[in-house]
Amino acid sequence: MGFDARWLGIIGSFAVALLALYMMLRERNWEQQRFRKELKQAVLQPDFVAALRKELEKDVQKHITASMGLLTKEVNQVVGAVKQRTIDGVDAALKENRTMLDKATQEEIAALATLVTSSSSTLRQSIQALETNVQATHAEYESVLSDYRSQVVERVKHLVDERAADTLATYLQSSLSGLELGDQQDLILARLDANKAAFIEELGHE
Amino acid sequence: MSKIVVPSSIATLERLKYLAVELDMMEAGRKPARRDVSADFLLLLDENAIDKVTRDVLAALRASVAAALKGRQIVRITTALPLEASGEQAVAKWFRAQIGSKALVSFRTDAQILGGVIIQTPAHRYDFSLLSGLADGRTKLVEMVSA
Repeated sequence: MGFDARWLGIIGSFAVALLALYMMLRERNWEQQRFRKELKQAVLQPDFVAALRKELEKDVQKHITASMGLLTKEVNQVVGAVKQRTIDGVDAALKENRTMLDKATQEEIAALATLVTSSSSTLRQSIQALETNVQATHAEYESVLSDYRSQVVERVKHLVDERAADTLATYLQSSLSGLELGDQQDLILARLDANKAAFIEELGHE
Repeated sequence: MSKIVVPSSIATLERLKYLAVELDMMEAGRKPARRDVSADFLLLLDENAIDKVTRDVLAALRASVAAALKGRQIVRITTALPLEASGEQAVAKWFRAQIGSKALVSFRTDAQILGGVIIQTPAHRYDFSLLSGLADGRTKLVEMVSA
């Protein structure tokens, strides 16, 4: 009895295995046939291909639209962020520059005020020094001029006292040298004769 | 008519200019009476043996005087007092003898020079005036005082 049950089990298992193998082979066959059928439809039926392509394009378009929406949103966010960051940077730079400019202006004004005060003081001192120098120079000049005048007057007095006749005679001689107080005609002819060579050289001689 | 010659005795700028003006007046029909004609005009007629003064003769005389004025070198004589006529003639004669007819003498007076004479040629100035003499003497006096 035990023997029969064991063989019955073995046979049953074997039968089930065969049945499973058969079903697998059959399933494989079905798939192959279905694939061949679709392939055949694809090759031989343009309408099916067009419909399939249209479906695919619709899917792609839908996908692209969705992607573009996301991308646009992302880009807008990035642009907004950059814009805000730029504005913030410019504001900060302006604020910093304004602060520096205010500071520099204040320093410059303070420096100018100091300079003006200092220069005014220096200028006043220079003017006073200059006036003092001018007065001293003028006094010195007056002194030298006075001495010179005194020396000249003394010299003239000396000449008049001791050599007046000679001096005046020489002066008159120098003034009247070659100038005879006689007839004008004779004087002119004498001068013409004295310089005859120069006249002939310049004017020529016929 | 032979070539008209301007007498060499008319050697002063003033006389030649006056003669030119006189000829212009005659040519313009304002013929003066013979007693009013200048001695230079008569000299011009005598020198060229002209007996009858026609319009053509007047034009020729005027052209000759204009040519005599043109291109001549002027020597200006400046004196403190005006020279007598004989003095001017003597000076003009000197130039005529030494230089010839190329030079014309012109006389003028300038009391500022005090005395003496200044002779101005086209290229030089010969100053023999009392004014420049005094200036020279003054310079020498200063040098003597400063010495």
